[in-house]
Amino acid sequence: MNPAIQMEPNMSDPSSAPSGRTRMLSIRNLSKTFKLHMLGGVELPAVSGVSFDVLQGEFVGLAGPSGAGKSTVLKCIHRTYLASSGEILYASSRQGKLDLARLPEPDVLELRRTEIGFVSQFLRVIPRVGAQDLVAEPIRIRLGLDAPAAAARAAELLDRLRIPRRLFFAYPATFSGGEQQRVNIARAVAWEPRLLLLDEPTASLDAASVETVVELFAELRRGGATLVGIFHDPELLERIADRTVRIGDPG
Amino acid sequence: MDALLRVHGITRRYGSGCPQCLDNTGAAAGTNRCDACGSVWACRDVSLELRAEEALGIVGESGSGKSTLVKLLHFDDAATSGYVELARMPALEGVDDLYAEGCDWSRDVLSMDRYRQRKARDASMGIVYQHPHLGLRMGVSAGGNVAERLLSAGWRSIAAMRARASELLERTEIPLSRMDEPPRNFSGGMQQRVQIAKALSGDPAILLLDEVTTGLDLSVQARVLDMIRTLREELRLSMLVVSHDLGVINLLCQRTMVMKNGQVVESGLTDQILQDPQHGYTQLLVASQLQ
Repeated sequence: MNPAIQMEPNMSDPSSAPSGRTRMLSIRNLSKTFKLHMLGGVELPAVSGVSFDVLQGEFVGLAGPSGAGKSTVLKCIHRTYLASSGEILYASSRQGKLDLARLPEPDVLELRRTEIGFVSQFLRVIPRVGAQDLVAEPIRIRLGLDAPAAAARAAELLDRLRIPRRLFFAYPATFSGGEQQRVNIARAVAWEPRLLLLDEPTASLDAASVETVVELFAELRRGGATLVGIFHDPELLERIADRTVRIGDPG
Repeated sequence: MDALLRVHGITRRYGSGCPQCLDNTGAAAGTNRCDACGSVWACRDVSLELRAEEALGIVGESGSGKSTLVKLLHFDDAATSGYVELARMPALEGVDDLYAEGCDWSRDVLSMDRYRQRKARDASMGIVYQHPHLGLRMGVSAGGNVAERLLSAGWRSIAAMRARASELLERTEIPLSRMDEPPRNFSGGMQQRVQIAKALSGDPAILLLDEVTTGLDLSVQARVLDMIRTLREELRLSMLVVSHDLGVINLLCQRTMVMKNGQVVESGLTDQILQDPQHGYTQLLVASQLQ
């Protein structure tokens, strides 16, 4: 082969985006179908043929009507759902390009521990652990801070999210929906993940809390993080995302 | 994270077996007993890898083979076939000829003599059974139960054993004032905590937990589970957690295997098993969960 001939940039290579920025995620022809064995094996297609890229440092919003499969796409990236077909190429910091749809489970766990975070719509956490400890845990374990430093950092985040100090030691199961969700977000941003997946994180928050959360996301991005999210409020999406990918549209 | 334990195709059959066994038993057949010859395949061709500091869940209904699997790994029962390897670790260097020269993995522990099996097991594993009477001598004091294990590990000083036993019992929240009482005087939750203390006495890298909270009141169950979570983080344990309760598995385990009629029907990340179960049986299990 003549080395002088320049190859066309390969669209499926997440490491070389046209703009020169790294392609953090490159989703190619992702499809997910649920097969319900209890209902005679009926198949429910959730998404089909989804393809899009996310550049490093970008904030990409997923849009589309309810039931279009936005959440399914996010959960496939996080591997909570198994993709039926297609590729989810992720440019990991240590191992280069990896296909999250097929990566061995221990490697997925390692990425979740060190790089990829997920914020669900509701707080789903360990019972009988106080709010401050919940937020401090990932700081301690993932960032390696000692217990007092992690507790201080957790307190700072919870203060900013206006969780009253008297609730720091209480179990979030007893909190209001909005308080629970603020703890959820504090826990997710506390360890500064490299890629953060957001599944309607602000749905149960009041306006003031939404502003704080928007600030926290902006701080993560200044640290170099990439975010992909679903927001029920189109104006909010417009304001915080660099661009929007529509899910569920033909092509 | 590196693997500590590798299990390849471990199988336990009761009975002589026959050519029809493989078709007549297993998850697809819906039974572990062969109609033709009456053999029971309690555990059939199970493979797994347990990594350092991970908790691997094994879930399934009664008779699925999950407890048999743990018994085989603890040499409480002898496997019909398959082999098991332990990673090279400092605690096991004292077991004669466990590793071939320059190998990171041990020889097959299932085919070793009983003496070396027990030595390798006691240096690397602890077990907690569902029924305290399997793991404890109910008439011997709580401290004595722990000391017994230390004695078999080569400890000789009574004072040192007593100190170690009180340290472990304190850690598992048994009041030291009750250290000299036999476990038969204790509540179910306390008995489980004495079992945990005993299981931890040899500083195991791997803890096998077989339905440890089954049959306990909810509040007692919560306390035991919280203790296991704390110990796991502090002692950096790897755990194999057998339970029929998806809630317990979800709380403790990052990865999960689902067993039915002696076979593994599905394995995956615990959140994926719970939110996107693939096999019909797992879907039934998840749909049957309370709450």
